[in-house]
Amino acid sequence: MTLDLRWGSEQQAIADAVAKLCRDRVTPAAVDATAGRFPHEIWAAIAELGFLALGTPEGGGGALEMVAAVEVMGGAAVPGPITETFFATRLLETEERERVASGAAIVSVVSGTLVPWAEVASTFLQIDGDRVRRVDLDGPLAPLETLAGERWARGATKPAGDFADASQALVLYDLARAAYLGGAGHRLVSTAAEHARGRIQFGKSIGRFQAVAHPLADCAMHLSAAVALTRAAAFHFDGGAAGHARGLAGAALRSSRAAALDAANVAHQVFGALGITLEGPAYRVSRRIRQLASFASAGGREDAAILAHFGVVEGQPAPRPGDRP
Amino acid sequence: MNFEPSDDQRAILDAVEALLTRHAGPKRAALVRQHGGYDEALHQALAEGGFTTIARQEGMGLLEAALIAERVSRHAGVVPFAAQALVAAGLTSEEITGPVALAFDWDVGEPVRFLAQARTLVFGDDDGVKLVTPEPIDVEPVASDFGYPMGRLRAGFTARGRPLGGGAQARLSSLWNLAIAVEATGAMDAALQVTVDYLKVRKQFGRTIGSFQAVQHRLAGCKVLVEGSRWLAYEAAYKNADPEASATAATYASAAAAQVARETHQLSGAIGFTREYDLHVWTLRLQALTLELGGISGHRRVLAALRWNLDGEG
Repeated sequence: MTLDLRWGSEQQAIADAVAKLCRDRVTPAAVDATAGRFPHEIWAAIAELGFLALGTPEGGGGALEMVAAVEVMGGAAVPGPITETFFATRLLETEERERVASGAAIVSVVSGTLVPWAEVASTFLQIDGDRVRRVDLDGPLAPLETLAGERWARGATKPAGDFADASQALVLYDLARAAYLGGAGHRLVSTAAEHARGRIQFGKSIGRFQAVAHPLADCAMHLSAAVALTRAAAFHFDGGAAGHARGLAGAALRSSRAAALDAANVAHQVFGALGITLEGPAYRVSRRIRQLASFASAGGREDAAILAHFGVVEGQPAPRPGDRP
Repeated sequence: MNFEPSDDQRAILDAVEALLTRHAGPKRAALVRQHGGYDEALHQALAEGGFTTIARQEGMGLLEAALIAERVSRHAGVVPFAAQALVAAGLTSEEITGPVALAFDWDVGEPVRFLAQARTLVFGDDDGVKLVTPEPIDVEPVASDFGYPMGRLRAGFTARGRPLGGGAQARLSSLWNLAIAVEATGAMDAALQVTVDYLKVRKQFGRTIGSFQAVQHRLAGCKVLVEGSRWLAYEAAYKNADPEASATAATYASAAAAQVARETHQLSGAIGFTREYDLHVWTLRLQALTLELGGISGHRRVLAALRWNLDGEG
């Protein structure tokens, strides 16, 4: 088996381009400037370079290219409904899809009465197990601020038509979220390691204490595993192995969520007080991890897909090693 | 506030320790497992010592029952002590014939601890909580490697018996949460002690493994989790299994149990997976305990509802 999980030249070019964009336009100051509102200028910059269109037929790329871009975006803590956009562009028809990919229309994936970006979104979607439906707003909105400082709202919605086949879009949604969380987690661990190298306390740099270094190393290991799983799932998705990709994507999301949350906890321990200051290097990334991780569970759908991938069907005994298929 | 045991409590706990040292322990647990999985002799000894009915004695209550149940679990006693002395005793002053099993209607068809041996099944459903004498026809045994014997209620089981009145389902939940917290604490404590003892002697890389800072800090992290579980459980017991305190204790202990089980195995290395080494006696029990009442997510949902009136919907 040869499954090379390093990026090919095309994916690397995309990753490099997104990284440059984030260095230039998604700086901490730029992110802070968007507090309490939709990050229009950052969104426009991303859309202008065609990155929101990566998952579309027009955009030419597949899941691997999307993952390459989103890993970097996660590391930069890009605000806004990035992962929902990649989900939607796989679901919507041409005209609406192009408006979303151009940044003109904003996507909101509703969860109960929680409506992300309710005041600026125009495409509202709701996931119900394996099905996806469009919804419309149905009543007044009560604005609120999320964990990551985003302006969402509470409000009622009403169904407005089911999508025929959402299976591919749901796999891409899992992959996008997994990639974002993996990238964000890696960034946080790198930043924490850099801090530990430079911070002198108790007579030496704190990174030389085993109890500081080992937890960071463990986090890096788990994040690497999660990223590898995400890339493997994307590889299979692009290769047309839909069933295989589905189970792996669910597993990748689960793995990435756990690894990123753990990384956030460990990083904050390493940073000490600096980690909870607005000026510090941690909170912009860790709060996005926390927010994404809170919504990265689709009521067991991914668990069922993971189990199905390994041949376990609900109500039947699990296969044992050596069983014939 | 006084966190030291009273003289009475100290006397009870000394007597319980002596009894458990004689009648329980991991080696005995392994032996009992080979012979059907329920320790009748230990049950007798605890009953004769008056420990099974401690909660109903003058000047005693759920806290004393909890203190004893923690120790029974720490000594790997293969008896449903907490189910009888804490949960059943907290629900009714009737004399309960043990062994005791606990189930809600959604547990029908699922493995339930000690069900195949139970003389009393405490069963909760929409009508209330009933004390049922399970018939052999109701129960099928389930092969269990979890350190507890398991049984399953057959599909279509209906509970026949007089229901305990007035909010008994909620009371059953609270008491059961408390029991889980207490049993998990005892098991975690023992798992950690086994691991610490091993790491003090195991040499590798030129020194005892326990002398590495990374190892010490992880053990310290586990100790913090065990102590947190312990004191939240004691608080809930002291408050007579107050619903929110009990849910808090169960939530914390379940999360702690998952981590302590993982860490103790990671730190014990290959020997931790052998039957000859005792760690599995407690870590397998921790797995079983953390599956009850919906596991960590179930506990979190209950706690969120109790503390903030949240129903778990988005």
